[in-house]
Amino acid sequence: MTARAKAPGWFLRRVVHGAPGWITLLTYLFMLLPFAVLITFAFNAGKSTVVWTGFSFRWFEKVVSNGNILDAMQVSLIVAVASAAVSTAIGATAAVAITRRSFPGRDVLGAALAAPLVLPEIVLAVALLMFMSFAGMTLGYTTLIIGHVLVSIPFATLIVRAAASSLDPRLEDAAADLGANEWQTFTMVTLPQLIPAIFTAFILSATLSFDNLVMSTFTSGVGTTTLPLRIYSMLKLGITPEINALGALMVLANVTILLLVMGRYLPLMLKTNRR
Amino acid sequence: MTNRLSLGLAASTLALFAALPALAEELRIYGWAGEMPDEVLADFEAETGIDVTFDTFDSNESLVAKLDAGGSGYDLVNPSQYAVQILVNRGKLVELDHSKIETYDNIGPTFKEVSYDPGNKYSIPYVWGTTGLAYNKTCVDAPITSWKSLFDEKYKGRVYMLDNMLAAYIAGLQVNGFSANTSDPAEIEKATETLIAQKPMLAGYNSTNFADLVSSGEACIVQSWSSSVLQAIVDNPDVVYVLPEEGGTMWIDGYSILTDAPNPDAAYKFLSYILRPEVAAKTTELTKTATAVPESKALLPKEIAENPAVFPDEATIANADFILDLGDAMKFYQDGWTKVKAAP
Repeated sequence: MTARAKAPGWFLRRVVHGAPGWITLLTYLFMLLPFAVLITFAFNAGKSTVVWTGFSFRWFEKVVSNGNILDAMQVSLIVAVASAAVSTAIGATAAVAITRRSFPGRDVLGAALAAPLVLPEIVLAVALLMFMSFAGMTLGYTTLIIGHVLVSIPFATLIVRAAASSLDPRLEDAAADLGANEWQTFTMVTLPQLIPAIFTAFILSATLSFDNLVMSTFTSGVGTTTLPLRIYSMLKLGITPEINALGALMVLANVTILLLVMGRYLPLMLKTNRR
Repeated sequence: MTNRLSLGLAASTLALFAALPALAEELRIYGWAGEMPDEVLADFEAETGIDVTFDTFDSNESLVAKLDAGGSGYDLVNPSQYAVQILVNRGKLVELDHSKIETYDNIGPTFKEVSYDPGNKYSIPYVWGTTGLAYNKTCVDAPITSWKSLFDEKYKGRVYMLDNMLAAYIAGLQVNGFSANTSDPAEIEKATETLIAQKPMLAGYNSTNFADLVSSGEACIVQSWSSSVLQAIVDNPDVVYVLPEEGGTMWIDGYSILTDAPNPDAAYKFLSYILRPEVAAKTTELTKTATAVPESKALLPKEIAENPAVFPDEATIANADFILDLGDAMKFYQDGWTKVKAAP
């Protein structure tokens, strides 16, 4: 045997060892390539989303001067922030109640809050529309926000519940020992520990609302066409790179927000982990 | 945090109120995107001082579902022909008072006697177009004139059909010599079989960027709405749109006033406004879609007025069917379409 000879099966072993890396790489490609294509064609000079004809910013100019898109964006943002605020508030309160208190019907409440998760959204949306028209509500911001709260509340609750159930109960006992009343314990001990989870719940709820199409189809009203609804109704006339430009801008906005959030929270998270 | 939360809530509530429209006279329209130019709406607002809110839907089915629940808050809606019939049957549309539409006489005679709403009792026809096929000259040897080409093995992998049940059945039925409006289960069944047999040779069902695909040559022949492919024709002289010899179909998107419209007067003013020849011409120029106002044609630039994709000749139009409300027969279409979509 020479020094160059390798143990039998070296090739296979290498493949097996390398596999996780390759799978990770392919997964990333699978997830990110569509974004790359989307963003590339946002800069296309021609009207096509398939054939490259040159570099241009015209679609960005077009999208930022398109009043309909901007109006729809504003609607989506208002609804996302409002519905996320409501569902985080309800979800967080419910989560704390379910994990920290015992009261009759606790399990039922917990299951009920997760119910929208298992019901197909379209069933929920149609039923809600019927109920709203039965109740004589005019479709608009209120109905849209109620619909979106319904969609995001299970997620908000689950996230805060997970965080609340992993809290150390001894901290609350200690606070009580030191003379804090219940309210002080909650605001000064429990709540601060839950803030990262509440924040996550808020961001996730807002994102779900911003992306929502099905619920919006049924609960939007006069003057409240959301961005996904507007884009979907534009499809009939064919897609132009204007949609790509809009997508590119949204990716940019999301990445910026993400970086800002990480810039604020990452050092905090690292600090706590090094404890 | 509680403070911050309530602050956030208060801020979003404020935003809600800020977003509510001012108290000027209002008109709320629910319509197709891209068929009513923003310029026309802005001109109307400037002339009348009425505030227009224009929301868009993606399909007649969405429109019907939304209106079915009631209390939508809209004044004017923009249904296509069969949706007009459905909405009339459900008592959602007002019987129009033509004396309140000063420009009613501008509507072309053929559009006053449409089969789905004779005498325009419930709807004012506005923009119209056809469903036919588009092809790229560079990949066919002879001009395409028939739906049969969509089923021709020669073009395997380079044909797209519209991803729309009623549109696909137009081709499936007419190629078999049936009416696009049949309610005969046997004929619908035959069309279903035809569409299933066609599936292996299709590149796909596509109702979004088919114009792009045929223009780039990636697709050879596509089933197409006339309005969608027009820009591609202007950009690329190799793209041709035809109504097939079997007929194809014609669609009309008109305006109707809802029975629970908050402001029907403004709706009548809007109808009077859009039927003016110069306004109709502006609509055609900006959306590349013909209107039901023949006088507007003289005001249009030549390349639009003489474009057969916008204005097909009378004989071709006379041959085209309307897609109408098929009532109970719709079930056969839906069942068939499910089979087509599930087929390999």
